Amino acid sequence: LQQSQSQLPFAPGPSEPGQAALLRRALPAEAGVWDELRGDTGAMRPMWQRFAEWLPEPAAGLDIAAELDRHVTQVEQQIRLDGVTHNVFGEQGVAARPWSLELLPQLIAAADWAHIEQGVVQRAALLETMLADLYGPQTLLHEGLLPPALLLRHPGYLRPMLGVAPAGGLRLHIVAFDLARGPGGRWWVVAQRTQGPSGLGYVLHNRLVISRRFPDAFRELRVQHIASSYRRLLDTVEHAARSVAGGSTPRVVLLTPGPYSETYFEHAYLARYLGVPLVEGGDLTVRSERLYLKTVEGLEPVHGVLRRLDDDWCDPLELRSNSALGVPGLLQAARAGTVVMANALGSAFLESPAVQGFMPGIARRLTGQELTLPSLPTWWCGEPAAWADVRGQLDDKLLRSTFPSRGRTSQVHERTDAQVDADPDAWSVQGKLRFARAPIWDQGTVTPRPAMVRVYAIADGGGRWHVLPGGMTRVARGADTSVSMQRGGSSLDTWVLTDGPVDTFSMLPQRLQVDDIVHRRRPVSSRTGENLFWLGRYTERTEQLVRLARATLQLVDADSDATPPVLQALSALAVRSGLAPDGVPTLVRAPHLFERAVLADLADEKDAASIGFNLRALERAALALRERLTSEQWRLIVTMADSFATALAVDAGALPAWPQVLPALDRLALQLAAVTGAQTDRMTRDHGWRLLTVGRLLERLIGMTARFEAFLDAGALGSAAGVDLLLELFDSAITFRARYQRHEDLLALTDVLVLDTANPRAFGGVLRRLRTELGKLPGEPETLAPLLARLPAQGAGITLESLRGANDAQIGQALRELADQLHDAAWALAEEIGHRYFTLADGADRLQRV
Amino acid sequence: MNAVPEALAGWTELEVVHETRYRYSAPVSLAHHLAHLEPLVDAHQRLLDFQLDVQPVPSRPSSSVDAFGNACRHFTHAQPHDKLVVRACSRVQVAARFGALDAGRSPAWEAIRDRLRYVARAPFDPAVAFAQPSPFVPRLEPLRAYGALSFPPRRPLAEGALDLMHRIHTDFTYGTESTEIDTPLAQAFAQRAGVCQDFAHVMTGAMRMLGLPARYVSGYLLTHAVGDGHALVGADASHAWVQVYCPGTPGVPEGSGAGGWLDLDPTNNVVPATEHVRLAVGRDYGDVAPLRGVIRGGGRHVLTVGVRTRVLQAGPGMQSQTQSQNQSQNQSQTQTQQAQQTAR
Repeated sequence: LQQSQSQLPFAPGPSEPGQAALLRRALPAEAGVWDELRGDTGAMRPMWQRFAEWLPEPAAGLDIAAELDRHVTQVEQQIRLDGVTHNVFGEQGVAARPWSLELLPQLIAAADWAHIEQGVVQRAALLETMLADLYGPQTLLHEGLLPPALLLRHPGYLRPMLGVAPAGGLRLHIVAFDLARGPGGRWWVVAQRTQGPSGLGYVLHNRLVISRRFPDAFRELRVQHIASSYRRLLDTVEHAARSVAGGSTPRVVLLTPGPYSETYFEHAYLARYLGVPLVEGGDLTVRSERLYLKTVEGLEPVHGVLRRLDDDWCDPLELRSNSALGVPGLLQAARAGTVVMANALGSAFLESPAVQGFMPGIARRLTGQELTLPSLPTWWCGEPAAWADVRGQLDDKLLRSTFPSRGRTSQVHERTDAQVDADPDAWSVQGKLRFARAPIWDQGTVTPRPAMVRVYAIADGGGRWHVLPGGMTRVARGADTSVSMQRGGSSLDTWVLTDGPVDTFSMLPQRLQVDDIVHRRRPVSSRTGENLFWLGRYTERTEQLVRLARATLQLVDADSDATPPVLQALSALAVRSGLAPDGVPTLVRAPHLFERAVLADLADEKDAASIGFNLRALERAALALRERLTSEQWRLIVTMADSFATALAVDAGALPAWPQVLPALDRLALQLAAVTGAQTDRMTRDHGWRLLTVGRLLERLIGMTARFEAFLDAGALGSAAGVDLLLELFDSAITFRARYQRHEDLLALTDVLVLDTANPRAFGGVLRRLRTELGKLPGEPETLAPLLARLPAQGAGITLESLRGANDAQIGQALRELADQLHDAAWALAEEIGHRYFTLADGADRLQRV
Repeated sequence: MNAVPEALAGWTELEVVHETRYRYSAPVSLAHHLAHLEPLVDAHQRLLDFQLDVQPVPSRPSSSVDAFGNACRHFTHAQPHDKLVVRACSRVQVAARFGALDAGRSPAWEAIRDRLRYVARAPFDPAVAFAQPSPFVPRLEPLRAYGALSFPPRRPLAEGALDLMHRIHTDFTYGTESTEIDTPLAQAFAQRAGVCQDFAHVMTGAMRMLGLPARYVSGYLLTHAVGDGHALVGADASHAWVQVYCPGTPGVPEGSGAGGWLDLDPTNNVVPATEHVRLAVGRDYGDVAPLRGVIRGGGRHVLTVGVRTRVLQAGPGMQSQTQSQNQSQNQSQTQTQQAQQTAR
């Protein structure tokens, strides 16, 4: 976010008139609407003139249009690189779409902003006062200033919170308002969001991307910075949480509905930016009216919750009982005042459009003031006089549902008067505003699009409100369509200009105290731990499968001189790994049938043992870990799964062909190496990383024992081909050749694949690392001892000395026993680790209602 | 509180033991429960003694009063357990409330409906909360026409409500096989069958579709009294009925704020007297379920519910309003059990 404030004396001025360039390409806005770009005379508004002056210098050989197109491509690229998505709900379920961001920012002049700021602060404060009244003395109901049905029928008015004073004193910490400009240039309030307004993460990322496209304009127009608003939000919640933390540093978490919620990306993004853990309902638990985070180290108290989970989903015990997203007992904790909810539970009903119509009267009664920022004219049909006013005249108005339906706050409907008559309370009528048109750069033209700006007010804990100087501008795809991102809208970075100095605060150079540092050690929730453990296991498992698939297919294709025992071993291994189905004739009997069976299964995502399935499982585990993975890692994983699926795509009934498969497997092997590299080298070595590593090592041990068993059982190690193949499956051919050249000797094999503690793919090497990492897992040394006792105390469990004088059969016997023993140990360890560190997490052990 | 008319001052004293047992196939690692098991107290119902015994003993149970004025109890088990027993013992005295009911002199139903419609600056009547749809009683258009048959223009509200109760009792078949707790209102109404919860929800819904407040009462019903009134009555069950808002009706007590509610039991077609013990009132079953819980683990479970009601001292009005078919029509525990067993 940091932009250089230095004024370079030789800062290049624009070499061509950007103004004329933009203006020439600007399509006219419809008559009668406010044009953000041009005034009545058709000339560009002053702030746009200045913006145009500082347009980027076109690269050599490009005109300004081509230059802007190039920037559009770069914006798209960065969004893809950073993995910025939002989930769209369609008939096919949830799908992640790339976030849509326009190149040109929305500009808001300082004077306009001052007006908005004043009106928004006034309204935010009023909403807080209203909540205090409606959960307290209910003066507004008793005096007939707000229709009782708007509370009493709304699922977001939570009776269990009646009369409860919020911990920390505030009910609202952040409120958002959707504003739009009417034809005369006047700003109107279209809607308000009081639960956990979405958009802050996207606002931040939009700024990051767009300010880099126009560094000169950004500096010269004196665009207000937004970082300190994020700091303020966290400060406000932490400050309030301090009052319930009993002297210790408060722990604040960000509560998300999970990876399938519409704006999950920004939950993860925001959590990372604010430095708070991203948690789901299942990560939290209430004990004795206190909220805790389940971590691999046990329960850790939570004092503040930034919530993105809707009110009525928060506690299945007292609210919506079919909610699997919430935290049973959360309401008790909130009532007991042991946790700060930001925002307080029960604020959703204020989002009803019907409330808007009553706000002016309420403002007069509670504050003696008129609202400076008007809301759109609104009629609640439940009031007979109001409905009589507008019935028969719905054509130029919007009919909205008063109460939420199917999870959406308020929908616009096409309804007849009669349908309203059947249940008038359920309907509200809103004046239709022709939104101002913001300029969009659209393939060589500057196109006007209807725009709505979401602005955010943040409380400071001292009774004052501050408005984030920026916001989320959304534009509609067409002239009369919705600006909703769900319906194909797009977003704009929102530049609030100032006449004064720019606040250059950044989240990063905060001076921290030692206590803060100690406390900021990020806890690893049980769910995160479990996902990391499985991330490790799936990565390793996929790698083994790829290696095995390659070996199997190459063997068939090459019509090699592999002996029947080798083919037998490979067949058994393929079946055991799930690469080939049970009961298929072996490679010895029907190589091509076997090959077809393997090919058919490779990308089958429904087959729980296939490579395709494991890649998706890997992706799912990573999705739940978004907040901990770099966007690079995340992208690698998604690309890997997608490109494999694409490469192996065939018509129904057909099999992937050879030329498709081998390169796909080769590429996948490379990508897996990159993923593994990122896991080993790019992650902080906390308990989470340790669990990932242990997961990978256990999976490797399991795979290696299976390989040994298959080869020994089939007697496949008596031939050079068998030894070569096993070495390849262990990825140890180079090590072996360096040491033993062409001695295909069982003892040599044992040295390299079993005893060698320096080979990361020998039993000795795996066990050595396992012992190290297990010993560092959370827990006292004596409680970790039983885990360690599952493994041989040192080395690989057998020694070179013990094999002195042994013949091949005896060596084989010893290896067979060792493999058996290690196989059992690995499974037992996996289970024990799950039991010890993840039982707190959701999983098989799900919530149920009784 | 209104004084009870002397003529009806005979109190019936009852003891109710309500026991809920869960047996889980796998250990429950964490359980949160919310109980509405403590009887209400008002001018016509006294609570002499109440004990809630939970096994295993929970950590830090807490008592509170919910938004509808019902006593409730929260308790948590954080230790693994494979069974749970919740035993509520209540000793109550009940007096008949509606002995002097004169339904014909109740206000016209439209007057109450119109009074509750929002007009700017109009005074607030809290009863309007119960004219709103609620999770178990959503708006259901066919219920409007069904209810309207009992409410022709200008009909006294209480008279219409008694008629509606009678019609539901006649039109609906009582059966424990037909519904579960989660049976939607629409289904119960369409099949004209259900248990006491469904009867109560249907009546509540029909009243609300006409703009009239109605609320859901959870409680107990003494199935039949034995001569000396001291005998063990046998296995009963928790029951449910409705209250309709009839302010200004002779014989319906008017309390401060909470008054004006007339109890009606559509399952049995009676105006409750001294055989009904009220536990809690709310918008619907969801607000006042006797025991609601969220557990982690547990696998499959078996639930048994038993209610034993014993008359300790019979009052004079005891048998007067009871009807003979009660016994077969309030065994909601079977129904509860089925529903619970199918819950995930």
